[in-house]
Amino acid sequence: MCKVFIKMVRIIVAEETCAESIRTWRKQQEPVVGLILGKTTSTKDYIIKFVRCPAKSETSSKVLKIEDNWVAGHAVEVSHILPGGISVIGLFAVADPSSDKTLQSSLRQALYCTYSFINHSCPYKFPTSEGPKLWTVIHFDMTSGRSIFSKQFDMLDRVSSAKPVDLKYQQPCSRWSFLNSHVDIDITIPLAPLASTNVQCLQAMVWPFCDQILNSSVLLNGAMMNDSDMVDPEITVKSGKGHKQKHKQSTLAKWGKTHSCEFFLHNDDNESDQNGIDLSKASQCIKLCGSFYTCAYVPLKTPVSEAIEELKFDLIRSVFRRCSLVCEELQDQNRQLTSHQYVMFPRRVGFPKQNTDEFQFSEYQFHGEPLEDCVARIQETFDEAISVDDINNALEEFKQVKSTESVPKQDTQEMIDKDSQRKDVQIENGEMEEQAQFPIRALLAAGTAVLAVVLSYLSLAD
Amino acid sequence: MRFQQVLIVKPLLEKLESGLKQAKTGLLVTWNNDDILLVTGCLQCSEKDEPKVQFQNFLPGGFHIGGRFGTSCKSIDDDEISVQLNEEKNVLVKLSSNVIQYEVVASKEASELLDSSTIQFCVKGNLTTTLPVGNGLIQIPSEILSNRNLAFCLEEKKLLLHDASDFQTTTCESLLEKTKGKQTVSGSSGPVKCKILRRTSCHETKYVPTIECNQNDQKVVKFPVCIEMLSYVNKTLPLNKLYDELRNSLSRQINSFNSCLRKETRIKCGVPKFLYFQPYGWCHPIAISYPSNKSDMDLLDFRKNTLHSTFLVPDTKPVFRRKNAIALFPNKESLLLANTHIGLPTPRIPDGKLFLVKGNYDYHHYMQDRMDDNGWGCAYRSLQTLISWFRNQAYTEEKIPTHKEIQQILVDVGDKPKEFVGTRKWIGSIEVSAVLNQYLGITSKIMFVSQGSELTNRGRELAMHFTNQGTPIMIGGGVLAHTILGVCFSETTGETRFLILDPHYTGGEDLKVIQDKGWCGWKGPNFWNQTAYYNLCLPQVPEMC
Repeated sequence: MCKVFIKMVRIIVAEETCAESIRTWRKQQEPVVGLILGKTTSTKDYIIKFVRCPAKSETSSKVLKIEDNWVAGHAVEVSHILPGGISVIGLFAVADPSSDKTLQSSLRQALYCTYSFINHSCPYKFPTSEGPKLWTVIHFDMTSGRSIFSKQFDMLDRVSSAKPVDLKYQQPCSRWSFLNSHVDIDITIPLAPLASTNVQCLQAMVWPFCDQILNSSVLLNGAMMNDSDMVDPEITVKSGKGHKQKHKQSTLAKWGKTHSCEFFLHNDDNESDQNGIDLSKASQCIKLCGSFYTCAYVPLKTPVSEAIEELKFDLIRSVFRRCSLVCEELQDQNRQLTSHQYVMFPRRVGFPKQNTDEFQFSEYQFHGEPLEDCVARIQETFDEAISVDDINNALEEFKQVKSTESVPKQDTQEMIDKDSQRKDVQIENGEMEEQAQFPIRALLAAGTAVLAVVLSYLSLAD
Repeated sequence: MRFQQVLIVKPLLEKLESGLKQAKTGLLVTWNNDDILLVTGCLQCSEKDEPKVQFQNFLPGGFHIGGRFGTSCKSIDDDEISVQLNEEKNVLVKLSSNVIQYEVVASKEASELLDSSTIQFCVKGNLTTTLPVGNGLIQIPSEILSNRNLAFCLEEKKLLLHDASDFQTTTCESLLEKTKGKQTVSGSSGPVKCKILRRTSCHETKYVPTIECNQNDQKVVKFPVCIEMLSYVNKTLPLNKLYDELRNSLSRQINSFNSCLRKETRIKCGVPKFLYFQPYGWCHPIAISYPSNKSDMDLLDFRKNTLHSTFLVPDTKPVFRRKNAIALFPNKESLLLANTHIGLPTPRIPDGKLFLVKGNYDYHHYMQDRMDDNGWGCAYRSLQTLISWFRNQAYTEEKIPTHKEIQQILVDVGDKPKEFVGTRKWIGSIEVSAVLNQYLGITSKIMFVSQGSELTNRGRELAMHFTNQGTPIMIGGGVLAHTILGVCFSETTGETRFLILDPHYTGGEDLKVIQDKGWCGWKGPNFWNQTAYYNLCLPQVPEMC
């Protein structure tokens, strides 16, 4: 008798709605490349959505041309919209296999480029887990809709060989638990030692706070849980013979437990070595005060420690994203952070509204900016048909301050040009590189008038 | 009477009696539960001094200024206790103006009462804040303890306390319970470690963060507020009230910090640090706030004229030097064993009384510090043990010298030629006393015994030494050197047993081995070489504060 060794093929479970998206694109008979959104775990991966990458030019073509930087830039913008626990985990294409012999290698190349872009999109260095980082490439046949190429690649090893994956559809793909929290920030820092540029100034303010978030203790629904506890313990039911059985996943509801979380920050012990403070070095201060909304989704069998980590990562990414947006606006206005009395962060708005059977994503809205602008960006970036009514703007509120002065409206065309020349991802050595442009704050919907983006922030009159 | 028992710690009563006869006045430190009032200490002050709330800042949580002492003091509050002298110059104790019966308890009994009735919380944290600097004076605002921001984490108990915590009817005693199998059993009442956390979900309305920068605002500095706090909490306190109890204890520390900061007049402002000391006779520590940028010598006036005076501690002992502070959160394990005699059974001799070393020492022996001194270094190791005693009692900050450094000191004083350094030559008690004198400024008495068999007749002298000085003794004779940590001496029979710390041990820092094998143990008269002569070096404690 000979032994047969069966190579374990990794399973990816996708929502049924993903298959519907593929069918829709197939009907349009135009090749599509896009992002796979979901969650990778140690045992299997989950796909919740396919997001089509916008075409770079309006001319249609039967041959799919994949431009690495374009796809990667789009992925970075989509990643800003995602809640904690959900991320870009691969690329897909819907194309005729005969149209481009190099499609699969192009997809692989774009995959590594996308991973690199996303990894460098946030300056904060998150702790990483050991082991390979597997992302997925799927090529769907335009004609049949079948997956003709489903492979995973280790993002940490460019020369690694492809690993086969088995794609299955299931509704829901898992039972998801939802964690959310409002986290207050209240920082006062002496102005003198702060760096002069807006970016460095803001990062100096928020970086220690983010370090504290990473090391914080978190209560779930008021309770301190063990790291190894499951966020959503599996439901057991008695079978006819009185034996308990675990629910089969297919019979589970899509949504599991919701955890309202509370963060408790540990203190930085570094300052405890100081013996004396030089009062002559007192200076004016800069304050950052308010509350951030944070949320995360985790699938079944996720331990508490991992779920809390996803929530923390979401918060930190959101903090840095907003700092980046504030700096961009100040740069557009050619102003210094410290020359204004009030500078308000953009607020996080959610879509679609809660109490739907959908994951909630988010965008950022500046004070005074119409929600229609957010909707336009979402439609452009996320390929999602939504309206203003689908926006949940109750997650965070803008504070009323005593005196306000709107920044004078800039010329609309000037704003469009500025957006289209927006700087992109910072690479690791700190140099800014002009990447292929992806309009971050896209203004145009096809065939409609240009929407003016009024970005106002508050300042005292000089 | 409100309390079933009123207890006064014996050393305190003796101190009060002496102080009252000298017309001293002051405040009494008390602890109580529903049944017992325990008077634990006293603070000298005049009636015109600052109100008692300021003195309360010296006390760990759970203790209060509960009364007064003085020749004609009057109770202020109904629950206040007063101690005074009657016409016959005897101590009179009143509670709410009524003369009451009281019991006298030893410090050890009082400590045991506190251990059984309370849980000690050791709280640590850093409330670094930004403080406005106005007219060169800074103060930590009370808002730093705003209950909306403050939380306490008892990590070992998986418990987080904040102002909205609800533990229903549980008491603090439940914190000590452990689960053993399926049963819940009472655990020990050792200190419970606690960290201060900042709560981040306090604001009712979730406003988007706003950066505020006003160039016209007052200037500020970032100021570390390092908390190390001790609080004795009654076990019967409802767990729901523990948060407020700890917060109130914390406010004492902040008040103490502010008192310290008010004395700072220089541009370079010292960061206050809280230290706990336990003077002789007190059954619990007291808390003192020192600015971190001042040395013990810089604080000599404060220690002598304020602390020694207030706590009625003779200024002949360095009780309030930093080295004598109790470490609530020891930074790291010492590589050396300390006080290895603790736990040894007492020798059984009729009417035997113990006269032991007072204070803490470290066990130095062969082969430590990767120094192979097996066969020649015993006296050097004994000397190191003696020096460790002076370090641990804060008489010196000098480090423990190496063998070579000891030899160099002997060369420096002219006792040995310079070729002596680096050799494996023995030293004796004369050399030990010379090094103590040159290195630490300590004088020693030398006791000569012509025969080892005579040592058993010197029990009374050795007992007097441990009573009056309390320092370990180096003894050299025959070919060996040892350290004497105490004697068990019987006045009726004259029998003596010697508590010996043997520096010839070459093993690892294993207390069980050291005690079981007698490397630290009680020895009889036959331990000594009966015909050899011995010299003993008895270090004398200097009078200093």
